[in-house]
Amino acid sequence: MIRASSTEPIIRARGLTKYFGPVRAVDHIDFEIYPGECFGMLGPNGAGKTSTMRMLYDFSPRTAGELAVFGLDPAGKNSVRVRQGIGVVPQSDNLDLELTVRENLEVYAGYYGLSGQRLRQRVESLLEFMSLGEKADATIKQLSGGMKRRLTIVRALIGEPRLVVLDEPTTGLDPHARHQIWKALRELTARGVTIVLTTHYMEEAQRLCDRLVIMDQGKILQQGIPEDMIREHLPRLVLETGLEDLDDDWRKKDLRFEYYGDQVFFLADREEDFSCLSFRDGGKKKIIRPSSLEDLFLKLTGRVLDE
Amino acid sequence: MSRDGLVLPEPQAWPMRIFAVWRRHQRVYFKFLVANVIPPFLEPLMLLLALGLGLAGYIGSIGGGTYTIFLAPGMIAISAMYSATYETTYGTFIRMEYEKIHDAILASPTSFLEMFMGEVIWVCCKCSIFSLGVLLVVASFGLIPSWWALLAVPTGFLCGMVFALMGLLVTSQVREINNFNFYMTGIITPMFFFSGVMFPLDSLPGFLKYACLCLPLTHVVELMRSFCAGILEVGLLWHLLVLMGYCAGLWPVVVTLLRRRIVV
Repeated sequence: MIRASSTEPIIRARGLTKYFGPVRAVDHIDFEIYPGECFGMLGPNGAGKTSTMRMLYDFSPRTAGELAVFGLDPAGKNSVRVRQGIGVVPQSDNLDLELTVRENLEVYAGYYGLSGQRLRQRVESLLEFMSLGEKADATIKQLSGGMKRRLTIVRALIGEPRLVVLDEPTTGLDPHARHQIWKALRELTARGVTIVLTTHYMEEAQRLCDRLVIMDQGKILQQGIPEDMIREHLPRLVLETGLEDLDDDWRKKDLRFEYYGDQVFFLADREEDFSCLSFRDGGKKKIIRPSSLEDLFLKLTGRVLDE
Repeated sequence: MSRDGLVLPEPQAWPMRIFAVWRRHQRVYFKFLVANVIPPFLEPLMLLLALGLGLAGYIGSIGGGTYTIFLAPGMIAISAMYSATYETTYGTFIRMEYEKIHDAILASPTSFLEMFMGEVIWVCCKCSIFSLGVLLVVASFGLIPSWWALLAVPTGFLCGMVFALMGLLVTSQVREINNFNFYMTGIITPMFFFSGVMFPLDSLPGFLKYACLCLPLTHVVELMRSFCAGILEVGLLWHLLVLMGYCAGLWPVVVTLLRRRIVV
């Protein structure tokens, strides 16, 4: 993304910290998010992604640090004002189960002060945007998981927010539903909406995010543009194989490697570099692929993202 | 206007934000109007019918009228009490723990206090509706001699406020839905029996009578009974003050504890 260096960030966090009793969920993190970008927070469960996100819209009071959203402190007298400009998609759907799809949107629109003709137009255009028109009069119980998720996303858009925060928008969805949501999110960024999302899917982060932070145990380990981060820290290729398929002398080879459980990941810039390895069973199970954020996470933490 | 040159949209005024929450509850409630209204509405009427038909003949007159006339205002009071109690215990708990409705509202431009007020005022309105409903039915049996009985509607509102705050206080502390049974059996049931609904408190021994005067429902019943009989006297202000005192005392405590429970 091209950005004039003078642009003010839409979110700025300095030393942002959150404790739950004695438990440190977010540990002095700094980041900036700029208008129009899709910003990702990648990390395993318990990394502090959700806690960070909830502080952005002042659901959760912060323990320490500074935070500005639209240049205002979200925790304070401007809290409601800040939220008027934010759409929130929480980790688990919290729709009004007794109401229909359309009624859910109408009720939520009420919180943003929409009424009359403006409300009706907004609801119709959002139903269309997420292809929920046919289900407009269905109750929530009649919806599939993917549809509920799509409804939760359009509900977040009801107030025409310029910032949308999504907590694991596609967790637990099938590939088709996931692609539908990715498409919608790309359309939003194309319209200039700023997106902040958390995920533990590296594919999602790599596909959608202009910039991201990798988080673990409340800290930011790395931040930057996904391709740059991979290029900077890792060779171009990864050979992935099971430990039991390797000949015993593999550790003596002059190759970088990481391992997790019984999987071994060798890292090199060229395919030929892997030729020094010898396999039992002809190495049928080995895979050679470009290095990814997943490998970077493994390198940084010694663990995999989606355990 | 923030520094990046974007004009932040102005949220609607706070009374409208409270109203939006109120409207949410009202809408969900009216969606299943028949199932929501008929059973809790029939309960006090059945009680009235059973006691009125079964017992009244043995009792003769209480306070210058028949036993059934004595009972009727109490039925209005308990319908309001139960309505507020169920809504703010099981109802609020399900919204809070299972449906996460409060999380959804707090992600929108609504403050905690506005959300709280929207919910409490809705419960009060619901109690007013119930009071009016039971009043109309008992009046149709000719049990209500005075038009002043219409004051049962605002009295139901105030009763709703007291019991909504009490229910929410319990809900802010309860971690497991079955534990509401303790509140129902330990607080609400004694309230039902010892608030002068079924017999005049004067018939109790002195110390017990004074203990009953501490129960908020006692004061609701006294107000309802006076209004239904068309008696308006300065002494009623005392009951009004006790109920308002309950609200004023509970309000800040409940707001604090419930906020601590919902916002983490």
